[in-house]
Amino acid sequence: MQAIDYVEAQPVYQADLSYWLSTRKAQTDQFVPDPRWAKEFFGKPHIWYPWAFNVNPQQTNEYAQVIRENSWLISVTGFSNQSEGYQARILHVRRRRQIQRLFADQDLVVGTGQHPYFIREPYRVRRGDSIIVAIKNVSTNPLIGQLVMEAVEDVQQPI
Amino acid sequence: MPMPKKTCPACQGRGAVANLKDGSQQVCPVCDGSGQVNPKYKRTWYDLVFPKTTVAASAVRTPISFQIPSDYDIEIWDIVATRTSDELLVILQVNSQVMMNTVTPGNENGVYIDNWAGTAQLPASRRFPFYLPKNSLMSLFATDLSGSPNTLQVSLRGFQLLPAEG
Repeated sequence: MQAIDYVEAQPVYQADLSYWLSTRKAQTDQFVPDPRWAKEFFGKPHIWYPWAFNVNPQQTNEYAQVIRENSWLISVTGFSNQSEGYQARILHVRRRRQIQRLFADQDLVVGTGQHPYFIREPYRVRRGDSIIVAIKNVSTNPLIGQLVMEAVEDVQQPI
Repeated sequence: MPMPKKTCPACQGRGAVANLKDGSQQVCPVCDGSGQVNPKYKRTWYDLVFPKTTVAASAVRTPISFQIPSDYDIEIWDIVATRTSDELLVILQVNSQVMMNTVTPGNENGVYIDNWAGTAQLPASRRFPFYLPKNSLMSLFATDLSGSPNTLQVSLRGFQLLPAEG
């Protein structure tokens, strides 16, 4: 059965839609942002926060970074030297709340430059907040790479 | 770098308007009480293309710069790039502001090109554009990690903004 047959046959619920839209790109393409965010972010600068990582086989490392300005996190991308991938989680220290609560495979947590993974809703962080990225190398080879979060800064003053 | 706002035409910047029935004040429905609204623009497709540059093997922070034309502001939606090798780090700088957080150890030379830019087929498209004022000096600092010459060209795709009437 094709996806379109399923859609025509019965009402589509979010879980069903996620099932049929098997790739992350297809899923994120379905997400139409709330117009209020577009209004809120209009004309504000985008900043990229990189977390470079270098993890030995079967090890887990944590990397912290301080947010430099009040911002909203909007997307996650990642790049590494191996196809086996890795697992990652992302922790927001101040709110004791994990943006990505448990370790999950790379393909579920991060996108790429070509397919950025957009967080379901922009996530608010303040200046001075610490964001910790934990990377678990699940392969038997050294892992070198970088995880990047894109943010929109809430600044009023011009450059 | 925020886009300049203009005074709300409904409340003249006061953020409130009078209720005609009883004369009481209520929050302006046009600007939601802020007193300012986003200006209206006509948008025309426009690409900002950095000059094609060969980054020497293992060169650190090779600068690539150009100036945005003085006629219009730019709104960027997509980032695309071609490169010889993906072992390439970049830092974007607009005027004097570095747009990548490079203060933590290991990240001094910026973001991997494949974490930041896509291709024409699969561009790094964002849902919320960013705004570049006219006359801005755009600089890209490229660092090669591949150990061989790396030819890079980056294009920022979006719209030129021309003020619309009203």
